[in-house]
Order: sequence, then structure tokens, then C-alpha cells
Amino acid sequence: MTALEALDVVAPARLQAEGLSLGYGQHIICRDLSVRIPDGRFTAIVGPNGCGKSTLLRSLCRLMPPLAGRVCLDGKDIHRLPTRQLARQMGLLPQSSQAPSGITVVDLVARGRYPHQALFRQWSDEDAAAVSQAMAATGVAELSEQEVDQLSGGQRQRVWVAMVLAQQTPLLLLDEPTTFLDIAHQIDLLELFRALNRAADHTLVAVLHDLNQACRYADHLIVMANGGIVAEGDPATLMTVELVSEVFALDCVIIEDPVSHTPLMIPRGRSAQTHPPETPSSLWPPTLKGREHVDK
Amino acid sequence: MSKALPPLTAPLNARLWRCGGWSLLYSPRALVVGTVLALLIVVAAALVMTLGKMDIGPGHVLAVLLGKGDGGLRDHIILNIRLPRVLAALFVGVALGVSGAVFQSVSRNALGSPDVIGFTTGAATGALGQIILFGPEPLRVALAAVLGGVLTAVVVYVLARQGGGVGSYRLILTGIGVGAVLTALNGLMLVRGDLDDAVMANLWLAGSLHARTWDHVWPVMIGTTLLVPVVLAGASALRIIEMGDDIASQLGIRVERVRLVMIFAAVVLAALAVGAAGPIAFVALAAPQLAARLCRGTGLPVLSAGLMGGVLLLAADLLTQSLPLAVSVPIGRMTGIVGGIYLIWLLTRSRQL
Ligand SMILES: Nc1ncnc2c1ncn2[C@@H]1O[C@H](COP(=O)(O)OP(=O)(O)O)[C@@H](O)[C@H]1O
Ligand SMILES: [Mg+2]
Repeated sequence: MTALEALDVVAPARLQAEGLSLGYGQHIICRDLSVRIPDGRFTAIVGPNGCGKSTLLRSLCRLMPPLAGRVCLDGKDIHRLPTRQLARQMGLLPQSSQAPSGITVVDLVARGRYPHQALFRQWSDEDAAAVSQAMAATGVAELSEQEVDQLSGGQRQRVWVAMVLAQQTPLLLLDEPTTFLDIAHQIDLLELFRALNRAADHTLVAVLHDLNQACRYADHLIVMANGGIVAEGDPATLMTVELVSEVFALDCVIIEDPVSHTPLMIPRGRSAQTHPPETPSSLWPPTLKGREHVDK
Repeated sequence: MSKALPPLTAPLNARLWRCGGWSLLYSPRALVVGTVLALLIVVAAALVMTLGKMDIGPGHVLAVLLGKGDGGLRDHIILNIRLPRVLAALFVGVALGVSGAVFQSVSRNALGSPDVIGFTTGAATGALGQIILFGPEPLRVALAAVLGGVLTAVVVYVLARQGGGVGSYRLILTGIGVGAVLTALNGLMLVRGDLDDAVMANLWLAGSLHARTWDHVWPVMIGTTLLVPVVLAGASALRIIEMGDDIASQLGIRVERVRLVMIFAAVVLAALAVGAAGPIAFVALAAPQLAARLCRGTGLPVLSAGLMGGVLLLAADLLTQSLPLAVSVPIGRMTGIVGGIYLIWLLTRSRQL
């Protein structure tokens, strides 16, 4: 065990799960899963489609009662905590949500303030400040009076992110926050998450699809497959050719990202095929003959 | 994050009222709409009070209502015939409007009103059973209607939950199915019962404000007064549940509990209305929609839907009483005709129901 790993084991974690079993009806997804979300870090969860990333995230946020085991925040079972109190500590951006028809951007973002409000305390200066900050940070301030229905997918996603940011929780769980965004907005959002994480000491957990972005922005990586955690730790040491091959059945090379100096995974092809069909050298690089052939 | 942001005092289209640590958000538009509807209610109620076979002037009506009557026949007519009728119309309308607003929010669908999803029919089944089997005693009819409505709601809820959430089309389709069975059952009860009871029941089934006594009024009046604040308290949570169960529960709302309490309140409201006046069609469907269009907000227009329901019912009552027809049209049929036309309009206009 290296010094770094030893540090990891004792790293403080407000949010922990022990012996979780999760499932939908008869369909068990995760068995006996334990995880600690290190405080003040940006944790990325990666893994193939359907491996249980959303399921885990939902259970960490009490949207799904575990079949066995428990999820604790500060040592207390989250299913025993008052729901509003929990909602001021932990926010979740689900993988999909629907905006009520006709709602404007600012009204939707303002709904993130719900756990801070009460029947006779419906709006405060903190609410106003949180909403404008969240909209500015996600770049949707200029859209504020538009209807959410009429925005593009990427804009809408940023509005939802603004909503959970307005919730101002020290812990923030995000399920595929970058999925519908163009590359520039993906980077914007990831930089924003990292800035939040660094400056405001937010603990972030995000399900990300792009392994390279996960390695670049996250400082803790959780790799899942088939409802279990396969590996976790610092992306720099965790990312190996063997791991990618095991989890994604992908043959790859890993080099150093020339910009961020984090691991950069470059796929070669599916590793399931023992002898991937090589591109015939007569076609690549395309020869004159090959082109003539195509033209006809 | 920049600090120099334009001050944002309240969400769009809303005003803030503050007093000490208290703050309330309200929409000026909704306030105007509510005031206008309340005024319309006063005007319509005044007209209904002065309308009828016996000519009683507004001055006398006011005197009697202030307790300065002469104790004669006209006082009796005002206090025991017209006043119960007006109050029945008002509270039945409010109950239906509020109930419809809740159901449309829960089902996220303009068609999700208690008459479409079978709850009104269920309440009618309960009430009919009481009328045919035991007699038309108003308090018992009200109770039986509530029982019928709640039982129907439980059946629909349980059936709709099988294999999925309650939102969306599932609730509506299940409700339509259960409602169809109950309609047949209601028809059967009319055929099976004693002829006098059947005629009585049939009249009741048409929805009527005729011959309403205080015994008809009390249950719906008390029930509405108690339940509307419950619905108001849950309205903001219900509005957030419209965004999806996951978002709502992560914002700290106990989704299932809120939904159950609200559905229960709405079912009881609709059933009390049915118990008092029979199944009045379409008010629960139209009132929240009209209110939402007038208020133009994305909130749950509980109060304005209720007031709109009151206006619609009083207006329908005025219309049935003043139409130059030989037979008086039962008010339930009147709202059925007007509401049916509105429903067709809604269906042809809206792309996304
Ligand atoms: N609501 C649900 N009902 C039943 N099964 C579900 C439900 N949601 C997800 N699943 C199943 O659980 C497994 C894990 O899903 P999920 O956690 O969404 O995966 P991921 O987010 O990693 O893509 C999948 O096999 C999926 O089919
Ligand atoms: Mg997922």
C-alpha cells in the first residue's frame, strides 16, 4: 500500500455507503457495494452503459431505498434525516427531468431554492443572490426570461445545472451533466465544476462518459462495471490499459495528455475481437488505384 | 462568479411582500384575476338571490341576510331556499375547481380532471347506492359519495401504480376504464331500484341545484373550508413534483406523501361536490384551465381555479333559471353542454395534452 493510498483510506468522507444492495423490484443491480465520497474532491464515476451508475447516485441521494446496507451522511442514515435538511446538504441533477411547459429559465432556476424556503418565507435576498450567481456561472443569465421549452438541448441542460447550483449544497451529485452539450460547453461546465470544487470547497460527484475528461478534471475516479466498483483512486495511477480492457472491453493505448499531463486514453478497437480486422494496407493510405475503384 | 450582478428581487412576474422575517410571493396578475372573479361571484350570487318565482327586491334580500327580516314567507324563501342554493352552487364550484387543479397537476395533463378519471362517477355510485338502498337523506348521501369517491381513487391509484409511476397517461387511462365500469354500475342501479327511488336518483344524477337544503350545503361548505387550506399549503410542492419525482425528492419533498395527501383532499372535495349537487360535469376540467390561462403563471392556480369554479357554477345556475324553456334544464346537463364544447376546443387546439 503506497502512502497515497493509505491517505485515501483515512480521507474524511461525509457521505459513505456500506454494504448497499440496490435493485428495481426483483431485478438486483448492485450487491454489497461500499463507497466513500472523499470530502472536497471532484469524484468522477465512469463505467459502461447500464452498469448501475445512475442507480448508485440515486441511492446516495435517498431517491432509492437500499434493499440492504445503508447510506450515511455525517454518520447518520440519510433515510432518517429530515428531507429538507438533507436537501440543503446534498443536491442531485438527475439524468433526465422535465420542465413544466411554459416555465421561464429564471423561474426554473429559482425552484432550486425550495429547500431553503418555507410557507411564509418564500423569497429572501440569499435566494435572489443564489439564483443570479447560478445563472451567471452557467452562462444562462441572458436567457433568463425565455421559456425553457424553447431552448436547445444544451442550453436546457445548463439551466438544470443552474437549478442545482442555486440549491447551494456542499455536496453535489451530477448524473451525466455534460451529455447533451457541445465540446466547448462541456469544457465550460467541467471547468466550472472544478472551480466550485477548488474555491468553494464543494464535494462533487459526476457521472461522466468521457474517460479523458474524467481523468483531466476529477481528482478521484470510481470505475464501475456490472453493478460493482472495479477500481477507485487517483486517475493518474488508476488508468491502465488492463483496466480499460477489463471494464470497456476496449483495446487502447494510454499516453500523457500534453496539456493537462493526465492520462489520455486512445482506443484501438474492441478488445473482445482477438484479431481485429486490420485495414487492408492496399486501401490505407488510399492509393490511386483504390480511389479509382471507389469512383466507379 | 461575478459579484456585480443586476439585483434580482423575485422570480419573473412575481412580486414580493415582506414583513419582518416573513415573505410572500404573489403574482399581480393572479391577484387581479382573483379579485375580478370574487366580484363576479358576488354579482352572480346577488342575481340568483333576487331571481325566482316570487319577486323579492335586493333591498329586502339584504335586510333578511342582515337579520332584519319580517319573519314572513319571503324571509323563509330567502334563508331556506335561495341562500342554500347559492351557497351550494358556490362551494360545489370551488370544490370542483380546486379538485381539478390538483388532479391536472398530479397527472401533468389537462385531461386529468376527476370527472374524466372516474372519481366523480365513483362518488356518484356511492351516492346512488345510498339513495336507492336507504333513501335520499342529504348527510348520508354526502358521506356515501365521499366513500365511493375515495374507494374509486384507491382502486385507480393501485391499478395505475402497477409497474410504473402515477403521473401521465397511466392514471388517466386507468381512471377512464374504472369510470366506464362504474357508469355501467350506476345505470344498473337505476334499473334495479324501486321506480320512485329511480326517478329521484335519475334526477340527482343529472346534477341539480334545485331543492337544496342546508343539509346539502353543510358538508360541502365545511369540507371545502377545511380542505382548501390543505391544498394551498401543498401547492408549491405539487408544482415542483410536476418536474419529475427525482428532482422533487432531491429538493426535499416527500413525493409520495404529498401526492397521496393532495389526491385524498382532491377526491374528498370532488366527492363532497357530487354529494351536494350530483355529478356536475366539466367544471373541474375547465375551471383550472381557464384560471391558468388568465393568470398566465406556471404556478398551481388553486385559489383562482376555485373562484373560477364558483363563477362557472353560479353562471350556469343563472342561465338554467333564466332560460325561457318549459322544462328547467338540470345544471349538470348545462355544464355538460358548455363544458363539452370547451373540451372539444381544447382537444383540437392543444398539441400536447
Ligand atoms: N426504473 C427502472 N426499473 C427497472 N430497471 C431499471 C430502472 N432504471 C434502471 N434500471 C436497470 O438498472 C440497470 C442499471 O441502470 P443505470 O443505473 O441507469 O445504469 P447507468 O446509469 O450506469 O447507465 C440497467 O440494467 C437498467 O436496465
Ligand atoms: Mg445513467
